[in-house]
Amino acid sequence: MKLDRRGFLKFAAGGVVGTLATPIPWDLLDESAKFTDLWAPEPAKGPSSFVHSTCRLCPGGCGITLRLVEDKSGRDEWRGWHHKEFIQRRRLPAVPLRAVKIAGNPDHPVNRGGICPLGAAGLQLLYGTNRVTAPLKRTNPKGEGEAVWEKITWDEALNIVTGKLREIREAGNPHTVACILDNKKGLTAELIGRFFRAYGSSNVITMPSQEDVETVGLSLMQGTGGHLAYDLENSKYVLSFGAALLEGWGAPVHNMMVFGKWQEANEHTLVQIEPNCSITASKADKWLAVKPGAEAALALGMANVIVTEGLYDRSCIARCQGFEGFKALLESEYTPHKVSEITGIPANVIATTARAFAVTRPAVAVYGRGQGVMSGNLAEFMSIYSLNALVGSIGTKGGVVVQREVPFKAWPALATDAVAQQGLSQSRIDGEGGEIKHGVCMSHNLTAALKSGAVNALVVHEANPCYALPGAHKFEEAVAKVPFVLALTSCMNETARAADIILPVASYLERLEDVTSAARVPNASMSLTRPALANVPEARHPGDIFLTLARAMGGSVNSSLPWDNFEALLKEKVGGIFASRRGRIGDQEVAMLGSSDELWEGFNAGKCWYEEPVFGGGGLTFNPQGRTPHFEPVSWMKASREFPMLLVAYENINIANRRAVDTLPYLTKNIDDTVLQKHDLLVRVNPETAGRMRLVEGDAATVQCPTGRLSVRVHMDVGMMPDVIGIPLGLGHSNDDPFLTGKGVNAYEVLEPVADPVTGLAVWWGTRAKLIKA
Amino acid sequence: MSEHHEVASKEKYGMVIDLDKCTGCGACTVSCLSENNHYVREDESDKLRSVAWMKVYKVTNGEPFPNTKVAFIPRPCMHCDHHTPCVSVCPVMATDYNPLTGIVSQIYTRCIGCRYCVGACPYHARYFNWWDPVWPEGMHKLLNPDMSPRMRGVVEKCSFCNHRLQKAKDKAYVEGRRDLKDGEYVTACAEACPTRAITFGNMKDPESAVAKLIKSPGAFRLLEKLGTQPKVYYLSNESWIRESGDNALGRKKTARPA
Amino acid sequence: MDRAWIPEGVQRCSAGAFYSWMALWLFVLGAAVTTALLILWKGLNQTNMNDYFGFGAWITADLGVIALGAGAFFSGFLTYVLRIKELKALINFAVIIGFICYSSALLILTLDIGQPLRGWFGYWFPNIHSMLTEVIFCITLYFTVLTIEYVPLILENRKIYANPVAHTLSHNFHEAMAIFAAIGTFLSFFHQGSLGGMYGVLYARPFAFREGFFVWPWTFFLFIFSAISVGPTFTILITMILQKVTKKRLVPRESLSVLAKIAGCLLCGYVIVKIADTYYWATHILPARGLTFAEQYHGYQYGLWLLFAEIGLCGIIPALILITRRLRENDKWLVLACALASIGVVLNRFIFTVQTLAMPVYPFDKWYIYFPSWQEWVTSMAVVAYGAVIISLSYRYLPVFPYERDLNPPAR
Repeated sequence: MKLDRRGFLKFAAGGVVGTLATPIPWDLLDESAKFTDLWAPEPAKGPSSFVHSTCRLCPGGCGITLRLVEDKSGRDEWRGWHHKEFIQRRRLPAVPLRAVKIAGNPDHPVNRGGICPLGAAGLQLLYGTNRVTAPLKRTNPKGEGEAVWEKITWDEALNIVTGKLREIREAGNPHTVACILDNKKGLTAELIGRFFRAYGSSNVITMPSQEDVETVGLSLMQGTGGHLAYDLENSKYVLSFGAALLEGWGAPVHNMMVFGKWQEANEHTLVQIEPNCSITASKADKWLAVKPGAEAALALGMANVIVTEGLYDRSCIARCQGFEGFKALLESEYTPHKVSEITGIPANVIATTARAFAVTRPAVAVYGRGQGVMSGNLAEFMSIYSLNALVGSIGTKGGVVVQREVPFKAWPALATDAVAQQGLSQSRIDGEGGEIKHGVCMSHNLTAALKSGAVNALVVHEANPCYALPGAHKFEEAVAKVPFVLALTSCMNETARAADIILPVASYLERLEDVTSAARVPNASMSLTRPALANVPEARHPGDIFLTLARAMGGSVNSSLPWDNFEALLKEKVGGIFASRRGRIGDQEVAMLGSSDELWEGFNAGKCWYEEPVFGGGGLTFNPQGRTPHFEPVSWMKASREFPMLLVAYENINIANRRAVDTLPYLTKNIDDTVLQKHDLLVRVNPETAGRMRLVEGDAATVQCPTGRLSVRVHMDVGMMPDVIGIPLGLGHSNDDPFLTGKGVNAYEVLEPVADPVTGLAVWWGTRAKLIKA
Repeated sequence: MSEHHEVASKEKYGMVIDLDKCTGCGACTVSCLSENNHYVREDESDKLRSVAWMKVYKVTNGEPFPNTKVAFIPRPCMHCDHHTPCVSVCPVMATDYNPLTGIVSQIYTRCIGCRYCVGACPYHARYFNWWDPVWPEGMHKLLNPDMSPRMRGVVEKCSFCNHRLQKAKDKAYVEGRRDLKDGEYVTACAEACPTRAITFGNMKDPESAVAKLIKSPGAFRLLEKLGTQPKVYYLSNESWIRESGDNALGRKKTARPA
Repeated sequence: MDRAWIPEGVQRCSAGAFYSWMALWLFVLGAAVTTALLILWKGLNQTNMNDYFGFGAWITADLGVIALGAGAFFSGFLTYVLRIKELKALINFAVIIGFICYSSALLILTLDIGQPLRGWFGYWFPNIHSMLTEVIFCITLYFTVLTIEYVPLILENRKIYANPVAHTLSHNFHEAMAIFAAIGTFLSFFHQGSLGGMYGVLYARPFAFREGFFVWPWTFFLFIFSAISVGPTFTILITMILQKVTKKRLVPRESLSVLAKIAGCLLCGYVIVKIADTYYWATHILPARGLTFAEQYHGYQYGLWLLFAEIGLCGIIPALILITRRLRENDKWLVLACALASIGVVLNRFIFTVQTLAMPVYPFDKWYIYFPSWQEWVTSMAVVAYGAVIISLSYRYLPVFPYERDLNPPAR
């Protein structure tokens, strides 16, 4: 066929029109758009339910509400032999669930609906990439490269552990088994302590905390134990000696809630005393930039003004002892002028602040440094704490109180056999104190103890000392020398990597556990973490693990721990709260409840039991055992030619530094680019200081300390005190978490503690340093 | 574009953020990330590519040590009420001002990713999805079923948790009510805020907390001189913080990025 | 080898030399295509753009080539509508340059959007309020016009022309060329303007915002003005370069001079208007937003030198050269003026694109620096290679310059 011009044009035009008339081009366009819609996953839909629970990621203990959605996508994962047993044991709904949101519980007295960034990100712990999903056994010898792990069954794992424990016990060395815990609060920790005592070891040691020195101080000055709390909500004048009140100290959300109320009422004054411009310092009504470590001197200078001007609370002082001696010391050693020289705060500022503090009631002086893990010496605590006596705030509304114990049913008497008694008679591996014997844990002595070969087996329960013990790298070396290391953890961390056996522990969203009295909050309270779902079905409750171990050990260990499971123990313990008839659960008086079961049901509905504090005027002894409050500089406060600067650690609410939980991915998004840039940590330095070193913003530098060196970059921060370097705690992990590993450096490595000779406790918050341009 | 379709609606949602209460903790950001199904990349330190609908800006008063102060300005989408800058520029009508609620929405399946709106918004409230959304193995389970994750190559932004409005309305409808009670519909950020700095509600309801708060003497909005009429208000009693909200001729810029 | 395809009566280099020359450019083009595929596969994270610089090198390149390509429509307008016959010598080449500019702009735009597969949404869900919609429609339509203008030239290739269909088609197209030129002029005016309007309407971006006339901000008119002033200079520039490369006079000097004179007059007008606009912006628009003129410039990258370079060095100076008869008649001065003017318009588009976005609107924000990634450089620079390929092919095989034979009589 011959195609003429007209024919060709007709053909072409017809072809175009014809194609457009067919659905082909339109469908192709439509399909291309639909294809692009598939570039993002669509979450599976399903009915929602809500579970009230409690957050355990920090000592704050907020009430949380977990939103659950039926998990249609993951149904297959649930078809295992363990499924039925699991549901029966934990009373889970038969439909698999997934958790999609954590919000604050508005009915919980601690946080009233608010939540912190870490708490809000909790699901990333539950679904984290580095969850331990099964018991693991190391297959290569320790110290020979990266650990190689083999998954084993629970029976195998527990057999190995019991075998080891039994072997050591049978050799008559139960005291050579040590256990490291994050803290001793809560029934699980108590149960673990009880397990080891029945076994024959008193070496249950907690990670360092500010509470250690407080415990010693409180027992000396007030003759009492318990946890120190501050009634910030009712206080009109708060003098905070470095406590990061708005950045994670105590119960973070509770404090922030109180701060919000202060801002509305406009009748509270917050004075923040700390070297650098923290957020708390910025938000405070007044910031006193004290020289690092001179807080005690400032407190004593203020005490001097209050005492010499007669502004102190006479009725309270009447209840105190040793005032005259204290007064004489203040008058001779701590005049505002002398203190001004030590602290760098002008004498008139010391005087006016002291006067305002003394005449505004109720007022409170808060001892603290950062979030509450770093610690100063006993004299520092006593100096600051004494201010509370001068303004009559010991045990009063708006002052300091000691938290009442939650009235759990008492533990039955411990059964100890001869081996246990023999073991318990041995002294603790971390020592019992310094000049004063107190029995508070001294984890900084662990490194030496492990190195000396005094420990045959180390159990680490939900703690990460290989990362977060001051002087971490030395501890890590020491751990390698321990013949048997067992780690109980829900996520892989530096310490677990150094273990022989790792047991997967259910996360706080997967287990039933008590959370008692939020840190630093005056109310006693208790609410439960509830097993809302099980993302890692193999993970077990640590209480159940130790109860199982006790059964396997048999004998007096078993008879000391006779409960079938943790839930049975908890239920029995809660009976004590019912019997005490104290407090309220939700909005109901416990005294009005008919039975302990009713209370138990309340707890299992996610309600919180709480009790108002009992206020009453108290006093203290200013000079217990002849020790007066005084200013005692720490060794690294003294400038040296070699190390002209001071490295000071600080904490950031978005960088988890609470040992058992690491910074979760959502939080890494919140970390400022002035703190972390790609793999580099930025230290904060005053521009003037940096300028002297010829450093500009973002420059690479080395922080050289007597204890080691760190490679960093420099961020210029006008809020930093000249010649002070600020370094965040919580970075520099090597824990297999792709969101954290290799980011920044670990400040714990250079922050080696010194022992306070009086208490033997660790003092650590800084070290001498030199900044060198890299 | 409200001047074009001002309608007789009883609702106009807005937010008030008390900067004197805000401690910059970032709980609002995390809550938003969780509520709105944001993925997280291993490195999020390039802040110019890190998507956070609720971004917390840190500002300083610019004074040297020891008179330095910092403050925080949480910044959701402003849901501009007047000639919404992003809405008019979008070539494909992927973003829209809802005259019934005042909420500026974004249709992710419509957006072609030209980023003209990103340039139009002076608040940097709009984010382009530079990467494919991926969650580590197993972590996709935490996805909120009420919210679609966004595909690579589209622009996204704060929606005032619009899906929560739908839920609240559905609930009210079931209960036979037409109007929502104050506090019945709140955004995830307002719900989370530990200091209670963020208040959210219907500005047209004179009894609502937001309607009262925006009349406070310390109330201001960001970049008011541009005339965008944001529906996000800020409160502060500190003049340097209020001044950091807008440019002023001849004033030394007190607030600087920290 | 390819002699049969080469127009009659003109001298062309050997096939070997030509294909070596082409291989060089095709290699560059191949690298760019590979890079483009990488970007399409991996996404725009391959660029250095971010949420502050949503627009970057590509938009600058787009706006730049479109402004430079304005020589096509404006020469068409002058030739077919105003009937300035000297420009007949240039018009084919102007159309080719325009075609190159617009097609590359469309290609880059496709790469620049985050969802290329949804590119057609622009036609399907148009937002009539958006300047970008106007741009999308006008550019597409004008590109169609340019194609229609370019096709007859292709059909005039000796071999193709032998085909009767091509022959007739070409003839019919030529008859309608004046209509297309008029349509092209209308469309071009609009999209050059709407490209400027894109920035001027950004009322919350004080660096770019301008008041205006009816719905069009002053940038709408400034962009048209700058495009019609500079577009012809770019046509002259490329023609001069081609003459240099081919070592031949392809266009009567008179044609170039006429176009240069027109461009020079327009450029003078543009510079005056631009200065007035800048003055009004600095004294009225910025203060109303609490900003000062000095705050709009920062450091080296965004310094005030940009303004002087744009308006002074690349505006006033080439304008003066072009309106001075003695200078524009000198080839060296003419090339210098055209090059400066072309650089100036690209600089103007860069400033409107990047500095608008860099200028911190929040008082507490800072200036960020944007520097394109290698992927952006390679794909943007590919326009040059693409242009070289099209021009080389067209020059070799098509009767682009009607006076070439007359100007270069056979040596025999």
